[in-house]
Amino acid sequence: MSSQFKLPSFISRTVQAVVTPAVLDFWAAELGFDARIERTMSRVVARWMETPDTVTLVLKPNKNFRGFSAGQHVNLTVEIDGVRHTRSYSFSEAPAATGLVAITIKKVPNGRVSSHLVDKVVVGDTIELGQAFGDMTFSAGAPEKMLFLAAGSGVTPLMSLLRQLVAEGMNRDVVFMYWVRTRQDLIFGKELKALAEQYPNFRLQPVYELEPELEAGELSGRPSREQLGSVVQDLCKRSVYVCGPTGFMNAVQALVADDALAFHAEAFSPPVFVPSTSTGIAKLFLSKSNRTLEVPEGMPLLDALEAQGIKPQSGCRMGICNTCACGKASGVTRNLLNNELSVDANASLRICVNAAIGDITLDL
Amino acid sequence: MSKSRTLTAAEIEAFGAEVDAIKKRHLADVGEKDANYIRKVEKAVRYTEIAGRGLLMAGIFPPAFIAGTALLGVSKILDNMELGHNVMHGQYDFMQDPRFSGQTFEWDTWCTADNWRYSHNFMHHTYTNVLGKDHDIGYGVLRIFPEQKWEPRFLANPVLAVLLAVFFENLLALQTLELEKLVSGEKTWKQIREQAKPTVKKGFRQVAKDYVFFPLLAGPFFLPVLAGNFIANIMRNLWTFTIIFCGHFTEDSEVFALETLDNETRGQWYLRQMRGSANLTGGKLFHIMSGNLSHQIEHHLFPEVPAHRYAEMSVEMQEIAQRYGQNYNKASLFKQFGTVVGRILRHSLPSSPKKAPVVLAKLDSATLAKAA
Repeated sequence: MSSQFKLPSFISRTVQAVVTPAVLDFWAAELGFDARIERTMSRVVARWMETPDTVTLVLKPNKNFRGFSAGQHVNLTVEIDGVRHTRSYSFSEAPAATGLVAITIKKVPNGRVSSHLVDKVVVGDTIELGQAFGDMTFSAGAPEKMLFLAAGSGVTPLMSLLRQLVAEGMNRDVVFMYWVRTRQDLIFGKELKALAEQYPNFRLQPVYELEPELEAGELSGRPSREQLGSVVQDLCKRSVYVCGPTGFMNAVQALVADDALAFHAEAFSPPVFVPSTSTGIAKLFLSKSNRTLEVPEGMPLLDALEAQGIKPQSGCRMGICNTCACGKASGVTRNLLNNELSVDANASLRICVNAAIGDITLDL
Repeated sequence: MSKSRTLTAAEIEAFGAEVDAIKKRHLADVGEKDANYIRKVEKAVRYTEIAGRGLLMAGIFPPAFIAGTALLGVSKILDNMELGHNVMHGQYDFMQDPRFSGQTFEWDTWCTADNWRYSHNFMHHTYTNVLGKDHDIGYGVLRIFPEQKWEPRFLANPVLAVLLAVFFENLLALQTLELEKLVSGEKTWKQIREQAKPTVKKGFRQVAKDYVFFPLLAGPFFLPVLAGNFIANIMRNLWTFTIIFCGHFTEDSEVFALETLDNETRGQWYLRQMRGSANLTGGKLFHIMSGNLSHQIEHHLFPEVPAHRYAEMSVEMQEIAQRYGQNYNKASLFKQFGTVVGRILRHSLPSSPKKAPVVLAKLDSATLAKAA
């Protein structure tokens, strides 16, 4: 129902002062409204399959959603067997005047959330959203010439960027290379091909890993210098946008980052942590619950806490979504993504990608 | 004399292992069933509240006044006990839902959730019935056990107990400030004032809600709403006082000496929790209305397990207790509360303990290592 449902502010302020947001939200949900005091709820208004294992969900967020830029992601929370799970997904459409947003999800083998979204979610279901985040956008204006490199479901944020360009008249030069296993795994294949036919300044290059027979203009194999060189000759004039699994990203970064005009990348699979050589045990003091634990140094704090039965809020588990962030009052931590040490007190430490180096105190 | 056999160190650890096994089995099974249960409880809280407050708007008609007050009282009891108390123990944290998160839940009472998490979840549950550590023993004003040193002020035990019962929510909120430390000089007025800020704010909100906002909403029928809200709050206070005092202050509840905490093992901790707590027998509705604190023993052994599972766990615990020759303290509310009242009256006068406070097993580390 209407998410525009709104009371005069002095009334809503008075009501909220005596009746807590939790109670008001309860009644909003009971009455079938998507409006909430603080939380961002969305309703599934349409869904369709892009490939046999990839779905696009169109969501109508309530008024707490502050919008997004093409190329960003959002945390999406669903309940499965009584437990809420949060994962980050990219928007696949460009922002639209209707306020609707689209998310495209590919089923991951044994992926609890992706399987749920692809197989179980139906039109009319409610899904909670976070706010959009991510830096791979055209906030500083789209470059004249670009090279998009996508692998698998990493196509989604690049598709969002491309659709943004199309909405603005497609007056940029884009080469779009897209690695997938087989032809039927091409997400948005039809639309990409149609765009390539329509716009001479848009070139699509699918690359297959496992397709037995190639048609004219198709390539196969993993990213290599030769392969890239055969498709793009003016790399030094192009800004590169990459999205795919960490391994793919690292591979193409080594190939193009130095020669390209600019390089932007988003990984969507959990990062490979810098292995820790430390075998020490750190004392971890949780100040809010007044508990002291011993955790292995070098282990992500979130994993270490969960191993001891403590389950802090968490989301992406890769240092992006900030759901697990909590205050660090004292102690040294190591960021496992870049191996940097942090010695200062920190108001929001992402415990999924930080490990203790010696004793630390967290506001948990 | 204790009704429980003295266990050897090895027996205590074996007992602890069996209790641990029960806990692990139930925690492994926690899921959708528990999520649905607590959502049903929340629903009951909200619907009884709105029905109660709605009826009170028509409170000039006596039947509406009585039904409205009763429903609002029931709502507040459910909110504080089966919903708030259990959620704040983190029993439903597994849901990852901020609505049922032990860290963020706030309830319909004066005591701030943050203060509660410290004074109750940490102090009381860790140091249950340890003299000098568990502030819930007499709440700093009552003498419940002969092991507490008698002072003339305890002559006021019966009067103070009645006051505590009637204004339980308000005094409980003050408990976290440890006002008696002001008397002993351990805290200054300034410290207390600073510490009291969140409580004062919460109290103000509660008063604004029950005694200004909802009465004003009724316009000319201001008075019945105000009166109904007041009675509902007192109803809740008397009920929670009764249930909570039966938890640890019945005739057979034991208190423990500070030394019992020295190198206390997991097994000893479980044993202390069981022997310091008392259960109430009754039907399903009674258990729900008590927030399952009628299964106080199980609640103290398994504070992180969803409380609606305690009834089932208590069957298993009774069997274990019997095998180890341990007293499993359970009786009807009427009987248990009678012994609580007896204690409050008896120990307002000088009395001396028949035995020293319990120290479960004072062991050197070598014996402990052997036992493990």
